[in-house]
Amino acid sequence: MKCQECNKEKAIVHLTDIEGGKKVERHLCLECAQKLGVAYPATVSLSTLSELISQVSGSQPEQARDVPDINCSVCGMSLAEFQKEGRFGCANDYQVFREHISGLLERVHDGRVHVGKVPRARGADLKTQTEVRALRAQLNTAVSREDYEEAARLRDELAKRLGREEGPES
Amino acid sequence: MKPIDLVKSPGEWLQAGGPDSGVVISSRARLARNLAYYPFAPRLSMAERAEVHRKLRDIILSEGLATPEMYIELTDAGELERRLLVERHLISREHSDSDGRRGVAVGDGEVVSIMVNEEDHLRIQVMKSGMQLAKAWEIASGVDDVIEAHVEYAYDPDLGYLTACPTNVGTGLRVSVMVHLPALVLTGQVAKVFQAVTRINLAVRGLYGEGTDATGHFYQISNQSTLGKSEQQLIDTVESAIPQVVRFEQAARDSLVRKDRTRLEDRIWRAYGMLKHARMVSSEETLTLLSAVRMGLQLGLLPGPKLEIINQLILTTQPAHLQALQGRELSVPERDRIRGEHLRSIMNPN
Repeated sequence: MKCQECNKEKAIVHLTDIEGGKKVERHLCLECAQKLGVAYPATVSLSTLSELISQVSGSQPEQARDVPDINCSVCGMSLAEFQKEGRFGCANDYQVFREHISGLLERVHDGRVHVGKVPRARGADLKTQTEVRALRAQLNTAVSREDYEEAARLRDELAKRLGREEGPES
Repeated sequence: MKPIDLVKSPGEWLQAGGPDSGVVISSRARLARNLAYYPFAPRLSMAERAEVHRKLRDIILSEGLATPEMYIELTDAGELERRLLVERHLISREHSDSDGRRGVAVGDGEVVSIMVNEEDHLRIQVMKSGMQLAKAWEIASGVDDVIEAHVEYAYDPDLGYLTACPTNVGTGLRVSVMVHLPALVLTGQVAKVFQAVTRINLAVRGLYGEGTDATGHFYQISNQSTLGKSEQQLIDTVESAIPQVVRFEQAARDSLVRKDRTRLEDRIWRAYGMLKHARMVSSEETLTLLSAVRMGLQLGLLPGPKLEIINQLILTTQPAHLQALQGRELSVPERDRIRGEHLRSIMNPN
């Protein structure tokens, strides 16, 4: 069924109203429904998220050349990739892309600083967490290169670090 | 108990017993958490994915958060089983359809479900019937504490719990209330109410979350922001909006009865008649009919059945449930016919 308003897009919003005692049905596409104020962007979806991000960095998603060439050294994610996917690759991305997401965070959230629950155990600092994740990424690369000697060395190093950070339980 | 046995009874959240259960169907709290020493789930290598999965599954089982039978490895589960879990709101559609090692732990009465390797390594979800957000958060936070004793979460003192999507960062908490608003839709006022709700930074979604439509006039109202407010403040924001929505819905129902009683009764009795006698019913039509009957019951315009029977039918008439109850795959026309049979058997108990 086509949208009764624009007659082009598929109708996905179906309304049944009673007007003057008579039942009136309307079938609209999302865009027209939103224009008419009868449907709401459900929540921050992927597309609106990347829109928000592109507004923040002052470029359109399709003009990838305008996006600053920044990469996370741990997970390898670039700013352009984040804009496309709307998901971070690792916790370090919050630091790497910090200034590029501050506008986004402000629009979506009620504040800039966390005021809720705190983990009970004092965990390792962010630097240590990042170092461990970087080690893991190096290990993956060594395995995919079939450099098993290097992989074994990195695996031992990782086990040593994790043994220290996470305790015997893991 | 095996996952497929879930179809035999509804989850606790559909028991229609909770506070305000006329309009408010259920309350849900969902926490997003990630392990500190791994990339986020979408960037895990296959080996890391399996490692994270094994680690979290072992903790969940050793802590007795679910029985081994009710820890469902989605990689091994069939499509019907996965769709069944989606229909029961135990996993997201994304979790059902993605790749690699992932699973879900389902606790007693389906109150707690824990998704492993969804968008975040951990998604702890708690569902309760009626208006019980604070209770749902309390249970979710308890499960969070139990798991946290074994692992270290990705956490930043400024940004809080770090999540794959920056819309969840901070508390990682999304609380939502599922409401049934047939009279507001019928009187064309639902848009006005949602405008007011979105103005206080709350989000409105359909029956199955993001991007789904509100078939059967069921909507989910949830917090948009997760950063900058405490969990209690987030709960308070949603909780303070719901009684107003409930009041609007009740006023709309009263005005329908007052101004157009015969037409309303006709609509409700027609729906009742269809459910009792129709031979082929699509799942969408079923929801529309059940919605009308549900409102009719609450307005005292129908003699029966009980509200919880209608709530259960909302679930058991959905495609995967119908097929699980039959124990086989069904074509669409077959489904519509069997749905009709199922509805008639429940609506005409003698």
